[in-house]
Amino acid sequence: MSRARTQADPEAIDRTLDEASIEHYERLAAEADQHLDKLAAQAPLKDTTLEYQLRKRGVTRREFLKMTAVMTATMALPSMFDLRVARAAELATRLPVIWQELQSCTGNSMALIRNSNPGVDELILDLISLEYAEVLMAPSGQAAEDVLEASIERYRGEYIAVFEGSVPMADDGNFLTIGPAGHTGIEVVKHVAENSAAIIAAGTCAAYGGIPAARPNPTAALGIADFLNTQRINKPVVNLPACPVSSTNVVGTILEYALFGRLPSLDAFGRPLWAYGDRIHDKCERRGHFDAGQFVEGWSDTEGLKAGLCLYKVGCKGPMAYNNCGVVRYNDGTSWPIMAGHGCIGCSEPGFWDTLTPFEVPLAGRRYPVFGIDADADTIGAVALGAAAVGIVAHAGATMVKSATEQRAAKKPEAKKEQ
Amino acid sequence: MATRAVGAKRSAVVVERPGRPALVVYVFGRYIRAAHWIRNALLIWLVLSGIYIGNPFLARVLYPETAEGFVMAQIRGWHVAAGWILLAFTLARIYQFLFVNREGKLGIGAELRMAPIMFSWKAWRDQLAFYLLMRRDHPHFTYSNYGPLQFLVYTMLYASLLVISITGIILASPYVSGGLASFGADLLRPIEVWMGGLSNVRAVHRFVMWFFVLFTVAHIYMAVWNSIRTGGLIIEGIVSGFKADDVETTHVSKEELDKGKAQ
Repeated sequence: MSRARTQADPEAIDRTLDEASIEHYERLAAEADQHLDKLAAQAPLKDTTLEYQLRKRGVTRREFLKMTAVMTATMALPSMFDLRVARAAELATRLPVIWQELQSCTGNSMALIRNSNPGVDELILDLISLEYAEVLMAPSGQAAEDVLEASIERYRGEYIAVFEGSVPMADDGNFLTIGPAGHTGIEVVKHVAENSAAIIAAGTCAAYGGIPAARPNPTAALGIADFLNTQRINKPVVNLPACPVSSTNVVGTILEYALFGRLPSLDAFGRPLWAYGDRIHDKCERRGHFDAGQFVEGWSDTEGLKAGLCLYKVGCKGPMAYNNCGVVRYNDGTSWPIMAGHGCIGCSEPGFWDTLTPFEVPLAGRRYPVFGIDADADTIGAVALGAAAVGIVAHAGATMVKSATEQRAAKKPEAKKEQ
Repeated sequence: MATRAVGAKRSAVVVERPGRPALVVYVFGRYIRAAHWIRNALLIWLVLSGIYIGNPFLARVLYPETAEGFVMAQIRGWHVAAGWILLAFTLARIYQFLFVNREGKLGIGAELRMAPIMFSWKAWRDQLAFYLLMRRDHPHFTYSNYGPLQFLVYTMLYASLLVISITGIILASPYVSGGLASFGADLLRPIEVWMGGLSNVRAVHRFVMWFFVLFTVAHIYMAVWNSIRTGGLIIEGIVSGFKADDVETTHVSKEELDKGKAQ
């Protein structure tokens, strides 16, 4: 895909690495080593290590390396980065992270911590130095507020700010107040974002406003990047949309930051190319049935459903949505919506609740409010066509009447002349 | 209706018809006629295949057991191919509109110079009065081949062709790795972002399709209606190239008419 022009061009990996690529990756590797050495020189933020925790949970070194190798491939890096990614995973515990809830359902946090069988990436997420995270932390009220202030003070300009949820702008932001002092979402995001090194918008709400921003958007909710634009705060933001975002993409972004000290290459909507470079459709296990034209015809088409045919006609929005669900899957790689038999709803696309609904029919069935009635494009077109037909018949009839009158009028004077 | 196509050969003959004689002039050159019908065929195919892509149904009827057919991929492939050809014709036509002058050479387009007709109140009044049966003779515009309504709708038609091509390129690009669509989509990325992602791009693509359907219906009706009402041989014109010039209102002299008759 042309989108995926990252530092790790997948086409370059497909070929046997030529000299230019080797040079390119060696330069990248040197950059990574330099940044990892810098991280290693820093004092650890926690009194435990990933190695110890892995051993405690019965994860062998071999399993850990398998996971980091998978992660390396997911991040579109060649195998020479395997051990570097493993080292980055170990050192990622030294990156201070502040996880700030906003106008959200906390579903992203829940998806990350509620796995019954947590994999190594979930473990890394547990072990990164989460200085502040409302869903996970013990303190509440003023105590929590103190922790936030202390963390911002201690790691000013160094921490990664992860936001979950949108920022409501209506009513001076009073739709969302946090903490005993009743700070609005606007104040909180400004304060946390201004002092951060980089920002991760986790989930579709934080990335694009998500469901709170769906029309008519009563709280005037904005995604983090749009909000920072209105406040003229210039910080690197990486959007990790999806509802919920997959843990692999969060951990991959953090690992990439640990590896290189910068955020990954982004697409036009601010999403990392290694995760959002291809559509759901392009990596779909049912794609063969799409090209063959074999579709599940409806929810009562048990034959088609059992045969695992393409879900396009029951509303799969995979052809419009960019994400890597089909590759990394959810719940420790167990499954994902299309595998489970329901089409993609395109939750990682901006404005998906407005632009990709209704979810159970193809996009041609999208509704538009016209004269107070919800109609799809084809209905609007057909009505316009019908109106045109009525107009044509009326005009043709009027023309016939008119020319008949004209002919009679033309004949009359002639008749008079003859007389 | 003294219509002269740009760059067309000019010759005039008079045909006697029951009713009134018509001075017939060669207005539509070979390229224009061929392009008209090729575009027509392309649009029919594009609309039909587009509707099919939106709601496919063939394969499980044709190939219930296996996937040997790849019907969807083929129809989509031919849809995209036809789209590219249509875009080529569109760009050639827009080039002609903008840059081919009255002598058929590079310059400010002859048709572009006719644009003031859109802003003439008198022209609008005359043309609408004609269509609303409030005047008998077709209004005659000396400085424009087109009436104001025609000019506006044809401009909209070519703008819509550009819009549907742009959205088509954006929609086609993820299906092919590299190539022209991919290159085009990279250039068009800001438009995709401005529209708000592929779903909106697809919605626009669908609505513009309906504009073409409506345009075609209205266009055929008005051409037939005009042809009957004015005796302008308009339907014949896009096949043969010869169209009737209005004898009463034309600036062709009596001698020229007789000369034509003698031939």
